[in-house]
Amino acid sequence: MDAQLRRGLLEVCVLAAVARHDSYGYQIIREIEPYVEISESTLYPILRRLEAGEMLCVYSVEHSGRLRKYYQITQRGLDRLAEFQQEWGEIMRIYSFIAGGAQGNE
Amino acid sequence: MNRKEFLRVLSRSLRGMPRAERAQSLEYYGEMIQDRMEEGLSEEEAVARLGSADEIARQILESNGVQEKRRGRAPVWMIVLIVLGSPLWLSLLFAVLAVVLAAYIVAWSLIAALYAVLLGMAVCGPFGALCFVAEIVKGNFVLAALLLFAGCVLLGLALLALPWLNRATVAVARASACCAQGILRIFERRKI
Repeated sequence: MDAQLRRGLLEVCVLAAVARHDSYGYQIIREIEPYVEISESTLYPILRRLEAGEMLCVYSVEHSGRLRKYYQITQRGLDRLAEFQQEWGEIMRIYSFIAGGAQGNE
Repeated sequence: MNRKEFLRVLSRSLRGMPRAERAQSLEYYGEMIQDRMEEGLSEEEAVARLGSADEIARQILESNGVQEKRRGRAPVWMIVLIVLGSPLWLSLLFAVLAVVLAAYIVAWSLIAALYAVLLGMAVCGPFGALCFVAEIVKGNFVLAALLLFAGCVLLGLALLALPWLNRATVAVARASACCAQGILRIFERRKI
């Protein structure tokens, strides 16, 4: 998949995963992995960006004698998800245009 | 490579970054390794899964550069306006700075002049004494007395005025320091 397209989609994927329930980093990867390729090093900049954009907030929980960071979605993050779902209609229209054009030329 | 080594290499590669960001990156990857280990992977396997520490460091540094630009959040139109308006506000700025500098020079010149005056007055003391002796020798007793009296009065006045002038100097110094700080703060706020 095109790198930029994947990056944009991954951001929303991470938001969706965290919207379901507060998650820690590895948990997010496990949830997203079946649907799209994601690694620890890909996730990290996404989490930082989302945090900087105030779409996620972080808190720490003790686990087995160490601190584990949990990510929680914010209202802004939820708004972004809603926005993406609205955009989805437009994306489908664009897709059908592209698909229609490809078929037309055959 | 074990976890500690991996984090050490990563920390070294991230040396250019601000301490807080670097600590966060290390925490994240340390956590990832530990989570994988909990799954059942050995420490070596968990570290190997992350890939090369240098590659990760490069990625972090790269996206950190992007991060800084995004956090700037200065709207484009504002930047354009500031650049286009620069002949106006730049010249105003220079004018203001020139006035401030002039005031500074005037204040300190005044202080210096006052000190010179006091010095002159003080010198009259010993000078008056010299003249006193000279006139006594010449036989002008009244003149001698007058000159000595005048010299003493001037020296006395100078000595009395000195503490006041010192206090004034301190006040001017503090005022110019405040002004300098105020100006620097204006420049700091301008940094977009």
